[in-house]
Amino acid sequence: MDKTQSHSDAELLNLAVAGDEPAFLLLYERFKNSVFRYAYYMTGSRPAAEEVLQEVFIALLRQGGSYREKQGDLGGFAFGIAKNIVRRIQRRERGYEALLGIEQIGETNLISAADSLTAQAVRNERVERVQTAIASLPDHYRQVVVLCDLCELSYTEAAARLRCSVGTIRSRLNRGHTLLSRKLKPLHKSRTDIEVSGTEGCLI
Amino acid sequence: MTCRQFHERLESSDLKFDPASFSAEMLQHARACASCKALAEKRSALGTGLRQLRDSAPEISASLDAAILAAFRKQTALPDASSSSSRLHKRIPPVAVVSCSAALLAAAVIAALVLPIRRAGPRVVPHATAAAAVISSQLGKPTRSGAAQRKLKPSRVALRPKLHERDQVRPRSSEAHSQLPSGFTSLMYCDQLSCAGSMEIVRVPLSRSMVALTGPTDASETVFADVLVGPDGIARGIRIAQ
Repeated sequence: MDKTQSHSDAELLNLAVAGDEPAFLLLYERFKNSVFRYAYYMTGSRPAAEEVLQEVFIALLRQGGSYREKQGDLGGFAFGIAKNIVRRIQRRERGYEALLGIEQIGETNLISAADSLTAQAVRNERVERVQTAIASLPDHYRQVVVLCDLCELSYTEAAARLRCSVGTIRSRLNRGHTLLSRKLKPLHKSRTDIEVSGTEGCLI
Repeated sequence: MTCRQFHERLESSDLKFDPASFSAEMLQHARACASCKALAEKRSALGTGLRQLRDSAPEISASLDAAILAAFRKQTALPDASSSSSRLHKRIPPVAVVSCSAALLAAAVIAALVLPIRRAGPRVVPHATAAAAVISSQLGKPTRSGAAQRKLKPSRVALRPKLHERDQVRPRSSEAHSQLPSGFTSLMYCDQLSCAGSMEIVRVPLSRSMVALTGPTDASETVFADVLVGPDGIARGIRIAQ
């Protein structure tokens, strides 16, 4: 394992394609979180994100021979595969409306001991609204928002992934934020109303 | 600080929507300008929402890790089809592939040009009457009631008259329909144009209803008929064979 630690991503991929399990595991550790998070935020579904993660690594093993380091880093190659699978899933799921699964209900609705009921409910509502607003963005804005704001990639990294300039990333992100703020406006407004009315607004 | 400068600073990623990271200059401007303050509050709320969404991302389950590892083991255990095909590519040089395909293409073109000519040649010569003469010589003999006639399945006998026979017999079109082989009943008019080409005799079992029309027969027996078929596929004559 120590030997493989020093290897580059491309070398690890070559070893993994040749059947080296430790190399594959290390490669998986390096990329799994970024791929999974990207897929999760793009699809808004955990099962879909798991499907994407699995398919990305199977595709890497199958198409690993066709990867050339000159064309870009392996992260970008994996991201390209993930993007295509996400698009395929989105096309497939377009006709359906997602319901909350048991796991998701558990994650979002269970109240931890530390948080109060109201704070948790407000947070859940806000998270849900932001997620819905991101999902409703046009694809080119959504990609940038997901990569920069949620996957915490730098502008340069996002530009490399999406194969566009840093300036384009900046402008798309700005436009994406403006659209998101507009979509989340009712939430801000209602929050302000509560602050203004306070307890005096209560009838009881 | 102008409003434009405030907006530009706000849009830069370094701030991460956090008002705590605002410079003193920005805070001063926000206090003075209501619209910029509102914009900063909106962005701050958006930043909070994005942060919460980022924190709410689920962890990858151990079962998924195990499934992916199992997929890797399965993948590496399988013989690699793509690598074998690439090995084949390496063995056959591309020049050979190109030359072989060019040769195949040339052969196909030559075959396409030659075959229609060869087909068109002999079609001109055969004649209905000549065919009929051969039919009568081959099928009209009572001694030929051997194995071929006893066959229950329909048989197909192609009649190709010999060259000297074709040259000898050249009937006029008006005679053609009346010169069907002996025993054949003419089914339709047969002139030189429509009956030009080799004729074929097809032996077929007759249906019960057709047999009944011909007269009283034993119902237990199967009745066969020879049908004289022209080169156009149309039946020209018929006779009861067995």
